[in-house]
This record gives sequence, structure tokens and C-alpha cells, in this order.
Amino acid sequence: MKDVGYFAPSEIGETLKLLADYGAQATVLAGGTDLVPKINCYELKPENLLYIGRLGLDYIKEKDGKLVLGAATSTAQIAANELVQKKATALAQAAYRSGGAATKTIATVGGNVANASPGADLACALLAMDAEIALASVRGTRSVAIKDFFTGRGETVRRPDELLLEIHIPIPKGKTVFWKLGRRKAKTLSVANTSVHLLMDGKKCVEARIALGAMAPTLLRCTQAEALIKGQTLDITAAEECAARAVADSAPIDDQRASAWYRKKAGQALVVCALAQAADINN
Amino acid sequence: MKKKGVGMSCVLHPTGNKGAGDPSQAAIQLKPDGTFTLVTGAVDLGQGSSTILRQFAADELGVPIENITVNNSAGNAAPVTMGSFASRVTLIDPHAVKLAAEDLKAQICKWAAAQFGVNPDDVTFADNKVAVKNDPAKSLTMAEVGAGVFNSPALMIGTGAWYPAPFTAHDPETGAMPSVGAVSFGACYLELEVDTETGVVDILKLVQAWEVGKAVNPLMCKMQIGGGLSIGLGYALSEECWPHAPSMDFVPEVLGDYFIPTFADYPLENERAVAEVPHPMGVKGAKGFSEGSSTAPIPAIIAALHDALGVWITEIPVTPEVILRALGARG
Repeated sequence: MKDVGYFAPSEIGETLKLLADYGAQATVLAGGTDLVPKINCYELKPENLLYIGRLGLDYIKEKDGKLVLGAATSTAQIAANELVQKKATALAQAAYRSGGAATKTIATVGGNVANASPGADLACALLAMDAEIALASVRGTRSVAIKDFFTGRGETVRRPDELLLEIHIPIPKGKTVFWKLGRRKAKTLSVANTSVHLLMDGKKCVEARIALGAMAPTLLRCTQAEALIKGQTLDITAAEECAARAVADSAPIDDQRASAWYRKKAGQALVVCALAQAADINN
Repeated sequence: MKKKGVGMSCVLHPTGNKGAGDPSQAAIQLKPDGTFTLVTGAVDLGQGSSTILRQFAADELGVPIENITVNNSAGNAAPVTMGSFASRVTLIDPHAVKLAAEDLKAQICKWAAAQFGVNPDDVTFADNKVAVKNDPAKSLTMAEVGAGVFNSPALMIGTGAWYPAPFTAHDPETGAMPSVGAVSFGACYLELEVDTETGVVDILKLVQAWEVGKAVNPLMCKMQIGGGLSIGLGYALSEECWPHAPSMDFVPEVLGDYFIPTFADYPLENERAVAEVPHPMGVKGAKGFSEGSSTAPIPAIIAALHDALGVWITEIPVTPEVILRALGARG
């Protein structure tokens, strides 16, 4: 096996220069909880590893009506953070349920997004919050809406010389919830997950965003399902119709965790539960 | 919709071999400081067999348990036992330990008798010392014996070996199972909740009781029932060992795809109970049982699912998908 180059810069400028030099020959390493198993199982043979854990990118702050998360903020930090729990509840829930303690301690929010797993828990919550992804390169920085960020399984619009620097979350006006189904109750990848943001005026739904995970090659924003309930009275029947619409647009696969058939059935139930919780509907 | 169900099971678990032969050997050595080393071939793989055999050695020698060290990693030099399987150690190996203790006691009494100038029959061995029967003032502590033996041309190792009665075939008329050493009996009661839309099962309350002959270490018995439950839950609900829907492509290849239960999958309420009916084959009535505690929860879960859903599920693991398919087949 050939040697793998390893860089662990301590400055962002230096990091961006390395990315500019190596481009696709550099693989960014943060917590490594997705990357290292792939290397160990020979699915991935990186030329060079670029570790970003020394850049001071682990922070959570509130700025201009947005929550700003450094890319290397650990999922454990996010799960335990009071600001996130209060203002972006679904993200804290997603982080809490994303894995076991050991995984959460090193896994990062930037990695969860950049890895572009169709079932990524934190990314699912961020999708329902209309988060923006800040990408930096020697050419400057740009911001991409998370709904435009994923292009396929493990694929994103990030260019090879760009570093995922921060995630900006417009603080949700309504209630956000996150639900997931795994093959056991903890330490499990999602068989299906969903995150919902609902702004309600009494029983009427003013604003809705629904994200669905592990149901297609990328996370899904279910805009047609959202349109069904927006401006309408949201009762359990409406929630069920909305969930059916959301799942109708999905294209899940069979894998070790569940069949596509199961994912469609259970995913629909999951969206109903999430909507009911977000809208305070009692059956 | 969430539905509740209750289920019960009664199971039995054979412990120890006869038919395959189940030899057991043990050695106990007196050390210069008056403590003892028990050398056994029984491997403690976390189930606590070293503790159990140490308890038996301390009991038979009449010395504090702290004074016994167990060496179960002596490799080639270790006396042989058949091993840690078939829930056999607690049933079979204490026999060899008991015989080794008796042998060592006789050697020590003989040595002490020479020191006291009396017959070995007139020496008592109790409370971690030896004394002259009719003249208790004449006594030696075990530390004094250890030091004395060390400073004389003597080495004291008690040995014991035991072999259970030979094999007779299973009797289909009476149901008697003489091919196994003993049989332990278990029962499980549980309450669960199952979501008919996701197929997710929550075990709310679970009680498991085992008849263990003699609870040599009651706390360890209960912990073993807990450990067995963990295995049983995985067996019943999540651990997939062969390909399932839809093809061979999805056989688990890494532990990340093989779902053993976590603490979060455990019942919220979990009671464990132990009953004792001394078994004639065991030392002090003891027998094994622990592996059986992984089996009792499974039929109880299947029964509770039937109670909740009205369908009998005939495959394990009962994954959420299996439940939804069973409900779909019922219509």
C-alpha cells in the first residue's frame, strides 16, 4: 500500500492553499466517522488527507438572526448546546440521535453535510431549516442553499478546492421536529428520517418545510407535500395526505437495513408523526 | 397505531454433558504465605466461572475467599476440563475442585500431625487453621503452615478429577433426558407495545425467572439473566444471520450492519428472579442455566406480538419489516 499524504494545518489560509494545490487529490478529514470506515474497508483510497480539526472551526454562535455553526463542531456539542436546543430544536434532536457517545464526540456537522449521505440526520434537520452552506476557497467564499447542495449519493456542488467552512441557519420562526427510524433504538443509521418545520396560526399552517432522508439518492425537500398544507387547516387527515404526497416523490432502495417497500411504508408514518408533533395535533 | 400485548414462555435448558463425556480436573496449591492457588482449565469468558469455582474452593477448604487465587490461564500446565460451554462449569467442575480440596486438606493434616506429634486423624482443619482435636491450644494458622511447608522438603498440591455417569439414550416414552447432566427451567413474562405503521416494537416490562438448582452466587445469577436477555432480544428482534429481502447482496458484512441491541432497546422495567431446587448431580445442588436465559424471551415476544396483532409470526428476527409484512398478509 502506498503512503498517504497527511496535512494538519492550523490556519484556514494555509488549508485553502493546500486545497487549491491538491484539489481532488486532497480528501478533507474532520471527525472521520464516515471517512475512516470507508478507508478501512478499501472503498476509498485517498491520495492525501487534509485534517481540519486544528482550524478552530468548532463554534456555535448567534449572529444577525442566524445560528452559525463552525464546520468542525461536533455532533455532541450541537446536541448539548442550549442555543441549538432552544432555537433549532430539530437539529439538537438529530444530533442527539445521530450515533453513540463515542461517535458523536468526534463526528462533525460539516462532515455530516459534506459526506452527503442520503440518510444524514443533521443534514436532514438543516434541510428543513433552509440552512445555507458557506464554502471557502482561495477564490473567495460563496453561500449555497442546502436544498441545492446535494447532487447525488455522496455528491455535492462543493468544488474540489473548496472547504465547507460554516453552516448558517436562519432561526426558524415555527416549531421544528426531527424523527428517525433505525434498526434499533440507539447507535443506528437511519432507515428513514424526517424533519419538519411548521409555522402555525392556530390550526392553520402558515409555513411548512418537510425534509425526508434515506428515501432517495439525496435528502429530499418535499415541496409538493408542503404546498398541500400551506395556508390550510392542518388536521390528522391533512397530515396523512401530506405524508403520502411526500413519500410518493421518494425513490428508496433495498439495502442491509430495510427494503424500499418498508422505507415507503414506515417513512410515511414517520412524516405523519412529525407533522402531528410540530402542529400539536392530537389524534 | 400502537397496540399492546402480553406474552409468556416456559423453556428448559440442558446443562452439562454425559454422552459426549465430560471430564473435569482441578488442582489447588498451598502457597508459602498460607493462601491457595486454584488451577483450572475452565475458561472465564466473562460469565464468572472463576468466581464460582473460587467460591467452591473457599467453601471446601474453610478459608476466606480472599485467600484463593484462580489461575485459569495456565495453558499446557492446567488440569483439563471440557471447557466453558453447555452451561456445564457450575454443574461439573465443582466436583473436581471439591476432590482437590479434600486431597490438599489431607496432605496438610498429615504434615501438621507430624509437627504436633499426633495422628493425622487427630488434626482438625477449620477456620483457616489446623489444630489438635482434643488440645485446641496446639494450633497453626494457615500462614504458619504455608511458611512451614515452604521451609521443609514438601510441595502441597491437592488434585481432583471427576467424570459423570456414562451416557444413556433419551427416553421417548418418559421424556427423560439422561444424556445431559441436568436440566434447568425458565419462564418469561413480558408486556410490549408495537406500532402497526412502522413495525417498531417496544418491550415495556419483562420478568424472567430461572430455577438454578442452587444459586451459588445470586447476584451473578441475576446478571446472567440480564445478559441472556440482551442476547435474546437481538435474537428475537434485530440480529440477522442470513440473507433477507431481497437478495444475497444484503448479508451483513460488517458489524455496522449487524444489529445487536443497545441499552435503549432494553425493557424499561426488567425484573429477574431465581428459584432453587437442589439438583442431585451438583455439588450442594448447583447446576448451570445461564445460556437458557437467552432463549426464554423469544417465544414470549412472539406470543405478545400475537396478543397485540392477532397474527402468529413464524420467523426470527422479527424486524419491523417482518411485522408490517405479516400485517399486510393478514389484510
